[in-house]
Amino acid sequence: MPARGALVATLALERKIDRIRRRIRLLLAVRWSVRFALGGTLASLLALVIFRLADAPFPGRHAALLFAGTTAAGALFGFCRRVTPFQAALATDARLGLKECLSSALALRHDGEQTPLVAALLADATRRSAAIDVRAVYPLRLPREARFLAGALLVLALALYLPTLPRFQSARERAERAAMRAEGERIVRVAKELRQTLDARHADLNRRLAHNLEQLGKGMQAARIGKKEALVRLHKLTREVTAAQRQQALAGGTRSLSRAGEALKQAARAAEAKASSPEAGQRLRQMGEALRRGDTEQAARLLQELANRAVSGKLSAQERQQMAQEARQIAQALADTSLAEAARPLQEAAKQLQQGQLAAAARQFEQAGGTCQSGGASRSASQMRQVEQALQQARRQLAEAGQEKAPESGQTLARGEGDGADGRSIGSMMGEPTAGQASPDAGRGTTNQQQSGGPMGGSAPEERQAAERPRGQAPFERLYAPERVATNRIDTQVRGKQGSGRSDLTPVRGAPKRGDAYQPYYEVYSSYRRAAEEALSKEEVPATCRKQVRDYFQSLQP
Amino acid sequence: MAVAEVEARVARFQEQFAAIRAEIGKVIVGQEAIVEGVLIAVLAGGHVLLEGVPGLGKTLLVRTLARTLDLKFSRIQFTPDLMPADITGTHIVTETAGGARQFVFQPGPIFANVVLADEINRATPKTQSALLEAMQEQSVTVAREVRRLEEPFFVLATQNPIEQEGTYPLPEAQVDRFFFKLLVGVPSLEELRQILDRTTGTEEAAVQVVADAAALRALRALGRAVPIAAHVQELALKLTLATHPQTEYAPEQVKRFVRYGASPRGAQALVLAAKIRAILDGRYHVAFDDLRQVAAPALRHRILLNFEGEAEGIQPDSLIADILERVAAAAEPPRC
Repeated sequence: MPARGALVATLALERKIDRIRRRIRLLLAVRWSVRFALGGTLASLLALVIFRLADAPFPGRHAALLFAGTTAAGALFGFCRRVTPFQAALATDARLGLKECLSSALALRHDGEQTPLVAALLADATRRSAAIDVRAVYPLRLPREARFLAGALLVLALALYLPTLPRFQSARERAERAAMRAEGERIVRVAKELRQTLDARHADLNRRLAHNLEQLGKGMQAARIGKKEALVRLHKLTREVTAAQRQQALAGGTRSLSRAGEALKQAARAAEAKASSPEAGQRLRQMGEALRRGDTEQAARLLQELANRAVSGKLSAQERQQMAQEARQIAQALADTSLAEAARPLQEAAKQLQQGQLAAAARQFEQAGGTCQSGGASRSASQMRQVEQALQQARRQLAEAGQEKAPESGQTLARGEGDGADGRSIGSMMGEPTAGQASPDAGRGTTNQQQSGGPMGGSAPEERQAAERPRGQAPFERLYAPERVATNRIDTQVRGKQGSGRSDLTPVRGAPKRGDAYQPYYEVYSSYRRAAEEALSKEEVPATCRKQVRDYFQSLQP
Repeated sequence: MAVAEVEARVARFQEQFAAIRAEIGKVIVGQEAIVEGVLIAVLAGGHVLLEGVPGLGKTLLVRTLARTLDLKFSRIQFTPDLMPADITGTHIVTETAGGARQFVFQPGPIFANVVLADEINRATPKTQSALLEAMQEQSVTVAREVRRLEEPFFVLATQNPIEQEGTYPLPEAQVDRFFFKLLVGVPSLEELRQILDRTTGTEEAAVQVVADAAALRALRALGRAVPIAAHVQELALKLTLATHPQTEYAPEQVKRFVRYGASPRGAQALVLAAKIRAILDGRYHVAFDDLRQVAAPALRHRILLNFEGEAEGIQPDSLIADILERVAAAAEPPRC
């Protein structure tokens, strides 16, 4: 072959081999992406097993991200693999049964000018390569590993999806899931409302809160997070909302609270100057001091004290006048501050005190105290309050979801007939509606004596427990529930001697008699837990002890 | 030389090969692999050791080949009392016309183109060794005088594997000089029927001369010119090295049962035979498959089993199959 002919043949052959090489790289990218995706899927399956063993919710979105990431990484890895022209030629030889024609030609192409047989080989290889349809020889199809990948994905999907089907869930899980979804929807709704009515002054804060709420709500709706995590995040969000309330309250109003406090201190000095009202002056001073510090909770407590004093009903006319005067002075001081909305109920309370309507005045004081408690009464503060209430409600619902429902008072417990005095219903004592109250028959209700198989009961307590216990419920432990004990006790009041000094009225409840007044464990658990949750959310429990409290209730969970 | 001319030469090669084969086929029934092996070895310039029980047509094959090629043929029947001089020739005293006496070299039967060394293992090693120089150097040294043998020269030896009484196994050096060792098998029923038809009748097959020494030399030259790419050659080298138990390419069976592997002559035989096969297949290059096909005849007599291998009755062919499976599989291109 002439030298030019050999060169042309060589170039044509090299071009073809290069096309084949690119095609092979593409196929390698597909193959490695499938392999990596298989690895990612298997890793997700392993993680799913670990999460299930640890009783933690599996982050399905992370699994999807892992799958996408490994697929992309595999494709990149495959595409970046080195495929030399010689390897491409060798692979094509093997695939087409060319008996190393292309690879030999490629390896010997530079000898074409010297050896006639090599020139013939080059011509032959060029002729054969020209007839190769690269796409037909290397069709773009899924590799064998794709079958394993499909199987692994199917297993993963089933492992993720089957437990979400109600058929495969216990009653408790179904209830928890339903509660999560419902509360998630509620939180998302609250977040949207908060976003729609953004207060320009606190836009950033509220937007951030709304975003966090929405994320949490959506996560709960989609069951991306578990109950424990939801409760923890709800708790954190509640704290954020409370902090935001305070921040907004401190930032609101045209006058600062410290100036209001100063005004109240002056009023206190004036009151103390009068010999007839030293206590009023002291209270005004305390209120002034609280406002000056921006301690709205202390201010709320002081107003609550006024409410308690008003509702005690033991105020003389002069004391009512003094209290009305106090209320007016506080209202005046709070005007044009961030707590301005508390001024109106205080003015109302003053009027009602003058008219002798002590209960109504107490309610007005409580309302004012509530306003102070929430740090103010601006529109955004009101929103924040709603948000906080929604969060607390969600926490309660979630905490109770899936737990055995405590029987309504008087429904599962034995009803006894006692006289109205001795047989007072527990609900009436605790301020809760009970079957006894709802019944038209006055005096019919649940009494602890009757329930516990006391003198009016018939059988032994253990036998009654067994009979009343819901099916499948383990025997409950006897748990001391003093507030539900209706026993004879003597409440005493210690009253200080009336004089020039201050007097404190402290009702002291007598200890109940120890007897058979016990409640089933599963019956009291939810109310105790709710109380604990509230205490935790209000930060009544010291931070160092919160974990123990939470752990304790989790360990008690029936 | 133009590509067209090369193509024509290759075609002519195939035609001549087919013609020789067809002529041999007139006499020899079946045994296609043996005939092809012998022809490949002849075209590659190698010697062949034919091993088989008596009566399978080994001698007839060699004789027929010599007749088709129009070459000088000689047959040496190896016996225990055969001496080296009986093969190489010797000086004898002759009287000239003037009455003077002189030593004159009387060439032995080795001085031919095709030498049939029938039942070669019946001669003593001393006599067998008389072939060593002839087979490798294509020359004979008698009385310190080197005499060249005529080209082409090839030895076709036969031996009987079952009769061990009064036989002398070939020395390793001798065995190594054979290009191929071909195992002649028993014919099938149909082949046997044809053999009977041909040999028990009155007619005798007439064999035509289809090539001469010059044509054979041309065919050999073309065969040697076939290029082999480095990666194909590497497979041949690995196959050869894999017969040695101490190399990294040796499979477990080889390490266990083999004492010595193939010499470089084995690699030469592999490549040369593969080149001839490539041409016969109409290709201008050697392929992996060519090497696989010729590996057994080229290597089986070069593998020396150890005691354990002998005791276990290991056949070199099974070891070669194992080597091919391992080494040739490693040469496969990556899947994509």
